[in-house]
Amino acid sequence: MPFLHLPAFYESFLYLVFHWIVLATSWNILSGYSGYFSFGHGAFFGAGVYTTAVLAGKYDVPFLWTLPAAALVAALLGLGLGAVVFRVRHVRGELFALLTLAATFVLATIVLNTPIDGGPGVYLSAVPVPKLAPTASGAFYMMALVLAIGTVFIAYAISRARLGLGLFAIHDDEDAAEVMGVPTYRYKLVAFGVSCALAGIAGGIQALFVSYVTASGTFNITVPLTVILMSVLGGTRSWGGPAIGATVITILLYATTAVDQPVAGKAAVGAVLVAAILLMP
Amino acid sequence: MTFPSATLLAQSALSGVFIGSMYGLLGMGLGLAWGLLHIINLAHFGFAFLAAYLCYQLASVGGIDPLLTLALIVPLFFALGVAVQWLLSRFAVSPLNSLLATFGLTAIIEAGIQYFWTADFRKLESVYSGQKLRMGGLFVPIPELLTLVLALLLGFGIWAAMRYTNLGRALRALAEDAPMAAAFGVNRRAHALLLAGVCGALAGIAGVCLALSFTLTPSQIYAWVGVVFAAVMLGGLGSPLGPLAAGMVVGVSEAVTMAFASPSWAPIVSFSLLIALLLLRPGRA
Repeated sequence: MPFLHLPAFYESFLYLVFHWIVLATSWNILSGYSGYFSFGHGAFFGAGVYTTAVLAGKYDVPFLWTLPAAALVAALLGLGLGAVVFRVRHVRGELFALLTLAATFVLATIVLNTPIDGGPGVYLSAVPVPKLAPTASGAFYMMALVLAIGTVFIAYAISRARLGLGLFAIHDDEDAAEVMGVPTYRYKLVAFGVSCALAGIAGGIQALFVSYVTASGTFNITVPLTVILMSVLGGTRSWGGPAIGATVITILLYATTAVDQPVAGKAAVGAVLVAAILLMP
Repeated sequence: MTFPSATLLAQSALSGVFIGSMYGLLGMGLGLAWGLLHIINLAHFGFAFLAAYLCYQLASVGGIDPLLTLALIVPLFFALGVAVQWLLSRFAVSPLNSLLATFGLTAIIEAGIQYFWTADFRKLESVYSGQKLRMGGLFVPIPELLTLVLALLLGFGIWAAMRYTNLGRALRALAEDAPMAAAFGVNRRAHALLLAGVCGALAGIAGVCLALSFTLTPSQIYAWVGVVFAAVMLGGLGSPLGPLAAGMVVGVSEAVTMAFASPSWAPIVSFSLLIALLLLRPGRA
């Protein structure tokens, strides 16, 4: 694609589509397969954003090297949270959703009040974009494309493996699954770690794409709301559903922004979510 | 870190009580719907802000006394509460799905507010704003005092109604064992709709209090979610006075944190408390 020399717009737009495919699909690996709906995907995405922003923006680490670090930080956060939360038997369903939402705001407050951000935000405009394609937007397109393909493949592989079957069993009846010998704690933790790591990489790329990150812009309600919507719409039990949902919703959001009605876009996303929840069996 | 003076601490504790009554007022409707109807209504916050903006509009453009706007806002939000409950019960949603659906509804309300009133900060200037009582060395702002009085009146009023009237008894019976209560002739649908209406009206009243005391902006809707949920879970679901008492505990602890550290650290108190509660209090929900 980048070598066709199309206008930069197409590359940037497709970058966004791939970006949301990664976020929705990675969310689905834990939340869709096992039914543990996380409202905290923004926290792990944000952990990736800030890892890259701090390493590349403040310590001049080459950008591509920050991406594994972003994955690692996000995964460790997820594993740490999961190691505590998944041990507590009654934190399921709506309580897990609330807890992950609260974790997002705790992380946001810490980032805002410590030298990680400190308040004014972090600039990445001086960080060079890796030369993966003739243009900068082409490079973002390439990175997101590779990540999206990788994420969807991981989601597919998990859904076909023992891990996926175990997660589906947890979704249907966790207590029964446990009795049948599914190591529920370990499966949930592994799925959470993979899900967070992928969101972290997406966050790292996004940090350079927007090139100026703020705590309020990163840790808001948009990421969890949008990924839940995309996955629910596409189908949470399939590996490919979230990717389809992500594509449709990104185009819908883009269409409303293009005609200068971003607020209507937000309302439309909300309305689609309400309709999807009420009308889906 | 310097140790704050006694007056500052007392003033902090007092403002903690006031903000805590706001938490309690918001939590009352949320907790009643959660405990008795098994609906986790995130749109409760959206409704409160919608009411706050309506109050702002009526009071600052229409020139009506903000407290008189209650006459319009209470019935309107009662109807809204009934409508949402009707929709949710029509599709028999689970608690998790009620959370998701009202999440979507909140996004719609936020977008609507942003469309009509823009994302600019709005502050209601009324006869009440800026008025203060002076008691000893402490200042007592009138709008906050109004919130406290309203919260106490409503809290005790609903508590008494739940405890001593047949209607309240029927509601508690439904929450405990719905099929049994229905067998004794309690009309489940009608009672659920009524209670949802009351919760909606409570959101409306909380909204008027928000407009009196706080600067409004659409994204502020989510700023209240964590702390109010913490108050509700700490105070107990389905109880009107629990969230009020818990809200004050949270409010005071936040205000004292702010006296010692930077105000931007305050959210960490409530959200950490919420996480700890979710992990440590089995059987609360």
